[in-house]
Amino acid sequence: MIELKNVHKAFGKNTVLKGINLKVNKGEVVVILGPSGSGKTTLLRCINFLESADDGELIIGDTKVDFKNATSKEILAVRRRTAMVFQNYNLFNNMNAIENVMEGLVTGRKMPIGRAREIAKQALDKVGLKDKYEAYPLQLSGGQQQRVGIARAIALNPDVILFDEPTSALDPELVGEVLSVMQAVAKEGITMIVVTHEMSFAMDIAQHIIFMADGNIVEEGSPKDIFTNPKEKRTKQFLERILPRWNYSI
Amino acid sequence: MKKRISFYFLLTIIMGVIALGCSSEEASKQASSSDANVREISVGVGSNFEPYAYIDNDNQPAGYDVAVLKEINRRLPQYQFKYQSIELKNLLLSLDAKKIQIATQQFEKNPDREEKYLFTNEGFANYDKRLVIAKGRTDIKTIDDLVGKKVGCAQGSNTAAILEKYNQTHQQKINIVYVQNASSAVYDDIVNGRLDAGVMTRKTFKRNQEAFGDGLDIVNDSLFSKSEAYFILSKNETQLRDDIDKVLKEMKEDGTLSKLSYEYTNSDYDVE
Amino acid sequence: MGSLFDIRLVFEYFPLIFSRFPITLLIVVVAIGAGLVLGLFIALVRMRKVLLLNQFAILYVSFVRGTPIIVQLFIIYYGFPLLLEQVGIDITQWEKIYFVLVTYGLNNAAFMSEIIRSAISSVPDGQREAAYSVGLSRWQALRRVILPQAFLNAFPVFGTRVVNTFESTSLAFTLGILDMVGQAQAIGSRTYHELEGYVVLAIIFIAISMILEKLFVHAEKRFIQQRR
Ligand SMILES: Nc1ncnc2c1ncn2[C@@H]1O[C@H](COP(=O)(O)OP(=O)(O)OP(=O)(O)O)[C@@H](O)[C@H]1O
Ligand SMILES: [Mg+2]
Repeated sequence: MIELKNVHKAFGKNTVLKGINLKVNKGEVVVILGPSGSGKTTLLRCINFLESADDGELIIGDTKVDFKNATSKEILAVRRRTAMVFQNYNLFNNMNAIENVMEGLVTGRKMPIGRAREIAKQALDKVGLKDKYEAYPLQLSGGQQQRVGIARAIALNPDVILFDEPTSALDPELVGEVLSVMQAVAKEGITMIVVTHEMSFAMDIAQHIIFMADGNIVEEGSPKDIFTNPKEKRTKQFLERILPRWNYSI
Repeated sequence: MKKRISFYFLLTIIMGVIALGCSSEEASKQASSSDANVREISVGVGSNFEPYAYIDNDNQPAGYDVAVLKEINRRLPQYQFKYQSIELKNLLLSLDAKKIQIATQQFEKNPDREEKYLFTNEGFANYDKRLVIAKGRTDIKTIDDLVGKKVGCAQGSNTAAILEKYNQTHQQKINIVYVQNASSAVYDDIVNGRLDAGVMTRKTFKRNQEAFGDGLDIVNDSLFSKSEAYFILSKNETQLRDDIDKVLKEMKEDGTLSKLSYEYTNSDYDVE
Repeated sequence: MGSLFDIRLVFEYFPLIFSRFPITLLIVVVAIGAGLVLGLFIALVRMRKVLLLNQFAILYVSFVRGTPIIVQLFIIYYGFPLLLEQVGIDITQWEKIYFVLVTYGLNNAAFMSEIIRSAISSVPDGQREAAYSVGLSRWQALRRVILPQAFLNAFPVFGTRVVNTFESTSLAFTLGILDMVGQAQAIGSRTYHELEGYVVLAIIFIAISMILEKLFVHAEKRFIQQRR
């Protein structure tokens, strides 16, 4: 279980998160929707301290961290319970695929290399890259890189994986392979928080949908509630604009 | 692979430093192994003035100056002289910085130097200097003839001091050219007219003739400067100075100094 | 005798002068090694803007880059011991080579810190963030992800620095270090034949600079091929 309480974040005078409260149950897939600039990325980055929130509290499993005065030890502990999949993959350019996946296990968690290699192989097999262990990022397509990114996350067996628009940097024909891998991950019961603009995908895999605007959570509920029966005006406006794009695929 | 390279890299550094540390430790051990009452004296020896002060085949300071100091040290067992080669232009600086207590490369006295440093009272070599010109030139006889002419000298030398003083006290200036000690370059420059004149002792003139040929003439009509070479000490070393003076006097009386002078310069210490 | 330039002496001097190459090599290796370690430290201090140390580092780097190395040699060899004497530490009688190594190390640290700084900042932020996201500490991220990539970026400039350092060692002889240049001078003063020694030096310096450049180009190709 992961819980956020009253998270605030400002960049200078620009207040980006205005008191976010969020609870994600174990094994749950939560999708965050919202217009550009509403603070979705910032929220994800606050969870693993890539951004330091100004105020609020994070509870992850049995650890409780106060954002205002988190120690570097606490930060490291949180990072070792989470994983992230980035919009532009961010694979380590100096390592090949399997080394990318092993890095967090061997260097971060001091796991013996042999065991880490086994886990990394399983993870890469799971995302369909059995034949690409030795490939360097520059030798892989965008879709393949992002699948290594997902393997790197699941290999860590984290309490939660944070996805920030994992498909929006991809060529359209490569989106499908990444989404289906994510679907498979979701089915395994791994807790996921996903920011995406892929509506049909959200509809399919999300147990819970959160709609953000202007640094607030405006509305949340089951996919059915949000997509078919939105209550808030902002949600309706947002969906209406997106609707023509995803409507036919339902 | 990468690891191995950086490992060897580190190893090289460590071994280098250790080797250095050991060699200097040994050296200091040797020095301190003798009596505790013996005072160690660092001697700076010029590095580029054969046959007086230079570096020999085994990379050690050598020459007439060193030989005289070694004999002095033999007669003064309360001191242990340690020699190191230093370029002429840094010799006096090294005295200032307390790196050494004695400096030598045929140093002549002049008022500026005497103010800052201590000279031995006894000289140990005649150091009368004469003008040197291209063979056949007759227009230069005295220092006044140098006005407007290009004259080469080493930076920090007494020749330089004399020329500089001349320019300070005269309206018409000598064109002083500082040369990087290289005697072959001076020889070549004078022969080819890039310099009008140089300043040498008769002995150095002869040494140049042997090495490069007889393209130069020495002015026999008049002396450029009349002086002797002395050892220079730090201002506070009066005791050491007096000890050296006493021994130098003995060496002159018993003929040792003459013997050394013949050995290195083929002539007596007090003749030009 | 009586000639200014004697080609036979070039061959005679060559082994004598080249025999001092290890001293030159020692200076280069220590200068580059110390420069890398200290330069990395300075680069980190400056990038993380560590209070006071950062200001000091800025001053230090601009001083070193703004003065000729010969001036730095004199300050360290002649000036610094006098300063230490004021507080009762006597290092005036240390071996010269130590002062030379310290000077070249400190000098290189300043240049290296700039090279390292720009190399590190040329690595995209996403690399560091990804490292943090898989649970690496700051130091682990630096060591495992940032520096290896920065090293590749910096490689060509690094090579130039090594060649520069090698060439600048020719100044160490002014303190009386008998490196190759010092040896050439010593032989020249001893034999009254200097020119030949300088010819030997020119040959050695050109040859080694060229070899170093070739080595770096070769190594760069190999490193980068590994990643493609
Ligand atoms: N590092 C930063 N410095 C300053 N402002 C920032 C920074 N990162 C984000 N912001 C600002 O914070 C606000 C929210 O940005 P954020 O990236 O969280 O939005 P988002 O919901 O992820 O948008 P998008 O859908 O476009 O990715 C924006 O106004 C953005 O300009
Ligand atoms: Mg975003």
